[in-house]
Parts: sequence; C-alpha cells; structure tokens
Amino acid sequence: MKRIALLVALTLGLAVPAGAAEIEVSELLVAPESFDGLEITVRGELVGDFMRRGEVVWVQVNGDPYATEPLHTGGPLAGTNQGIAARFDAAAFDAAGFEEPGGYRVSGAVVEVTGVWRHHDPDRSGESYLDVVDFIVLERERRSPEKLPWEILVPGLVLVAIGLAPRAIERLRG
Amino acid sequence: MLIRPDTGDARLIAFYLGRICYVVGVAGLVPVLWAALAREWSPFASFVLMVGVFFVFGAAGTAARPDDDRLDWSHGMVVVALTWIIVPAIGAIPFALSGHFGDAVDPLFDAMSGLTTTGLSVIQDLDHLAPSLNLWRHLLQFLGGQGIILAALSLFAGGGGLTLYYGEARDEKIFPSVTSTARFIWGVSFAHLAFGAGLLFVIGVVSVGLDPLRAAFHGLMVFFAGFDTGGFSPQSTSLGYYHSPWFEAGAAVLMIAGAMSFGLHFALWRGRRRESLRSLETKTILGTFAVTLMLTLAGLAALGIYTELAGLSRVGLFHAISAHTGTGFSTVPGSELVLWGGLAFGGMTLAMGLGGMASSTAGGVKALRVGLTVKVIRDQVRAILLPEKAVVRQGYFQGGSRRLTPDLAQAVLVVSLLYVGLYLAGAVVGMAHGSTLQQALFESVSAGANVGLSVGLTDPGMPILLELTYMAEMWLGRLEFVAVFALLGFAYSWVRGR
Repeated sequence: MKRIALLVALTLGLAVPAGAAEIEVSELLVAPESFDGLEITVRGELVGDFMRRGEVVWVQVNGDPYATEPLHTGGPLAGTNQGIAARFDAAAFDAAGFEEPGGYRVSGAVVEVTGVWRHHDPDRSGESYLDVVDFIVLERERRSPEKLPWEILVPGLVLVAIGLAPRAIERLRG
Repeated sequence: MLIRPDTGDARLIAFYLGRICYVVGVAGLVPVLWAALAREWSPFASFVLMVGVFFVFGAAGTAARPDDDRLDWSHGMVVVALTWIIVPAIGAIPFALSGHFGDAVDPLFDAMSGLTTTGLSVIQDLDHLAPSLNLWRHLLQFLGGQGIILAALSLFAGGGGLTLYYGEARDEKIFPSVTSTARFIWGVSFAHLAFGAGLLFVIGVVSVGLDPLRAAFHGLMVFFAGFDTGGFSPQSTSLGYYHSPWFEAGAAVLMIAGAMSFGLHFALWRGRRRESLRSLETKTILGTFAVTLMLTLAGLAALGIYTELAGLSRVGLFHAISAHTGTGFSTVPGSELVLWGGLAFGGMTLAMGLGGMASSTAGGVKALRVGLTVKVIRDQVRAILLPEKAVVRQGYFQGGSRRLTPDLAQAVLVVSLLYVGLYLAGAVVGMAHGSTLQQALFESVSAGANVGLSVGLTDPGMPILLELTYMAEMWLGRLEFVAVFALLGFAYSWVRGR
C-alpha cells in the first residue's frame, strides 16, 4: 500500500513535463550531440551505485532490455549495456526511497526520467549526462533469491580432491 | 635434420605446466572465498569447479616427473606459450557458467583478453555481473600483468627459472637470481596495491560519493586493471562511470606506474633519478608520449568535438595516457571514440601501437625497441653522410652504457616489424568483415598491443573469425612472438621430425 501511495505521489507530483521528447537511451548514445540542451525523457533501470555528492546524486540509467528482462530472472542475452549518467537532485531522489541500485541478482528501480541533456558540458569539463528535472518510478527494486547449484559444486569438489590427492599422499609418505 | 621431440620432452613440459596450474589454482581460491563470503552461490560453485580443473591438470602434469627437471630454452618457451592458452581456457569456466556470454568462444575471449591485459570484452550485461566474477576478471589482469610464470617463479625456480622468465617477454633481471627478481616485482606490485587501491578508495568516498564498501571494491578493481594496464572496468561505462576528474587522475597515476619497467621502479626506489632520466627508454617514451598527445589534442581540436579547452585537454590527456600505457580505460562511449578521425585517430593508434616500457605490464612494440630502432636508423644515416673513415659510435645508455651490436639491432627491427605485421594482418581481417580501414586498424592495434580501447568492432555479435583473430593477436602481442614461434616449431618438429 505504501509503495502504491508513493508511486501515485511521485506520478502526480513529478509528472513528465509536456514537450519533453521521449527517446530510447540507445538513440541518445548514437547521436548525443543532437539532443544537447534539449529536455528529453528516457526510461531505464538505476544500476551500479548511488553516488551522493552534496546536493546531487549521480546514477547510471540503463535503457537496455535487461531493465525489463534481467538475465537472473531468465531474460535473454541482449548485447552490452546501454547506459547514460543522470544527475538527480538529492532531496527528490531521497524522497523516492530507493533501496538499492541494480546489480547482481538485483533489478534496480525502473524510472522514467526527464531532464536536460548536457553534451560535453563545459561546466563539468566535457562530461555528458542527463540533468534530471523530474522522474517517475515505474517499478521498484526486486531481489532474486539464489540457490546453490549442487550439480556444479559437487563435481568441482571431487576434482579438487582428485587434484590434491597426489600431493597429500606425497606429503604423508614424507 | 629435424629432431622429433620424445616423451622425455613432453614429460618435462607437462611437469612445469602442472606446477604452474597448481599455482594458478591457488590464486583461484581468492574469488572462491569472496563468493562464499558474499553468498554468491552460483559463481562460488563455478569457481570451485575451475579450481578443481586447475588442480587436476596440476596433478596430471606433475605426475609426469622427468628424470632431469632442467628446462632448456625451447622447452621453457613452449611451457610459456602453452601456459598462456591453458590458463585462459580453464579460467574461462566461471565466465562460461555465468550466463553472461553468448557462445563457447566468448568466455575464452574475455579470459584471454583479461590475462593478456588487453581489456577488450564481449561480456553482456556487465552491470548485473556478480562482484566475485568481476573480481576474477580483474584478478586475471593482475595475474597476467605481473606474469603467471612470475607468480610461479616466486614460489619455485626449479631448473628452468631463467628461460621461463624471458619467455614471458621480460628482458631484464633486476637481481642476480630470477626468484629474487620475481619477488621484488611482486613486492613493488603489492606496495602499489596498497597505495593505489587506498588512493582510489579515498577519492571514491570523498569525491565520487561512493559507499565505503563499494569504494573499496571499485578501488581494488580499478587498481588491478590500471596498474596492470588491463583496462577492464567493473561497470559498462568504463571510467566514465565515475564522472570525476580526481578518480581519472588517480587511475592515470596507476596506468603510468604500470607502464614503467620494473627496472625503472628499482632505479627510482634506489634514488637513481638522473640515471633513470638518461636512459634511452625513458627519453623515448617521454618523446613518443609528447608527440602522440599533441597529435591527439590537435586532432580533437580540429574535429571540434570538444569545444572547451578543459574538456578537450581532460579527455585528450586521459585517453592518450590510456592508449600509450596500453591500459584501455575510456571516459567516452565507443560510439564517440569512432568519431575521432584524422590526427586524433593517428595519435591514438600510434600511441597504442608503440606501447609502454619493456619489462612492464604494458604491451605494444615497447619504448626501448622504438628508441633502438630510431638509433639504428640514425646511425645508418650518419654513417652514410660522414666521411668514409669516420667511426660512428654505436652505443646507448640504459641503466649503464651498452653497445648496440648488429645482432641486437637485427632482433629489435625484426620484433618491431612483426608487431607492424600483426597490426596490419588484424586490420585486413577486420576490413574483410566490412569495417573501414580506420576502424579495423584501430581495433587490431588495440588487440595486438594489448590495449583494449574499442571503436565498437569488439562486440558480442562479432564474427567468430574476427574474434579468433583478435585472440591470436592478444596472445602473440603479449608474448612478443618468440614463445609462440617456439611452440609452433616444437609442434612442427613433433609432426615432421625423425
């Protein structure tokens, strides 16, 4: 219930402004210069780390198929990651209550982010990133449980034993 | 008459390979422990399997105990060349079981790229990879950069230490004994590990804004890949992930330290700064770096990709260091790097091809060979221009005055030409698969010089022939040809000898 309320609040309070072009991260990476200074909206998963620097938080937003169909939940291989950097206002970011970024067996929150694309920003000595104005949380983080794969571990342990046996015998014999 | 190797030769080679497999298997226990502590159970099981295979190879090899365990030159070279095939093949097992690779060749590609400190990768969804697997990728670079053989030599020297040492493309012995030299190199590396990982940790927490635990992880990974001029990174956007000039500066220090020869580290440690600056290799690398940096900066300025001076110099300097040291870190996506044409392309490709110092963790032709090649050409020109009776002094300073003998000059020129041939051969294969000359040459030099910068040809969907070509380039480039030629000669003698 709390999550739904948060989603509604964020949707109402931080709705996507009219006029922002909705584009894929892959499109942005192909021709980043053509979106310089424009307000755009991208969808993607928050991955890696929440890098907190004073009043802003830097996060990588991945707009690849793994955002919706992660490998650890049985999703198919779909090439390399497609990510951009996004700079969020720390207060708004914290208000969203993100628990953890996407990583191993964790699907990060999927967000729709609107912001101004800064291509080779002179104020940041040439970095490119999305300066976030608003965002909507579309999906919260999900952690997938993991089981010990005995079918790999047991043969592995047997091989370790076989590999060490001659040396152990040699030592015992002195 | 070509003499066919007998079972005694095979037993000797197998014996040393077995010992090396045991050593690498022990190194494989590091990610086993990490995965267990982090409760990453799938990688944990795959690492146990990998260690098991290493140990079985170790047991099988050492069981073939030869009557005399002294290695001659050719045996040692064959051991080295085979080590650099067997270790990536077994080391690829956790990658193959991770589900992050498309086919059977892809995990091997990444393991070979890691071990040879190249840094090209065909991994998919890196951003969701288990940290223990990321550790193994970077640890492979550390092992490869330091030298697997070197790791083994610090534990055992046996009767073949010297030939194994030289086989792994190390030209200078710092101490009279190979074992003590190996231990010195590991000492230098662990000192840098403490300093480098610590520095990046502090920058990670203070400047980048990472959690302390994650800062430690990133610091360790970037240290392994930076100091060993490997170029893997824990996230898909390489060093652009951190958006921090301080972090880039820290990584640049490590890249430079990694591209310095261990002999230079030793000289600096002993306070012999003036002597170090007089060395032909130091002067050469400073010269080639200045030239390639200026070419890159001028090219980027002409292209107008970076309009501000701060951005131009930050991106240009970082990538010139990354290319010349053979590291392959990048702060811009490959789709942007591909736009670096003209002089920028020339500067970067030249920097990659020339590489770092001899007896360092870097790849490429190496500064000493470049310096000697220039000297040979200059001496030849002087000999032509001067009166017939004039004597051209053919010597150079490298930790002391040395004579440039015709044999040395020939060896230097041959290896340099082999590198050029390797780069061109890879470029031809790239072009045969539809790439432009610029892209194909860039990627081929990156693979052959063990750099890892990519303009996008290295991709999970790349043609298998191109993938195998780049793997062969990494292997040949890392071993500087000699050990590979010895292996081919050994195989030929086995088939055709009597």
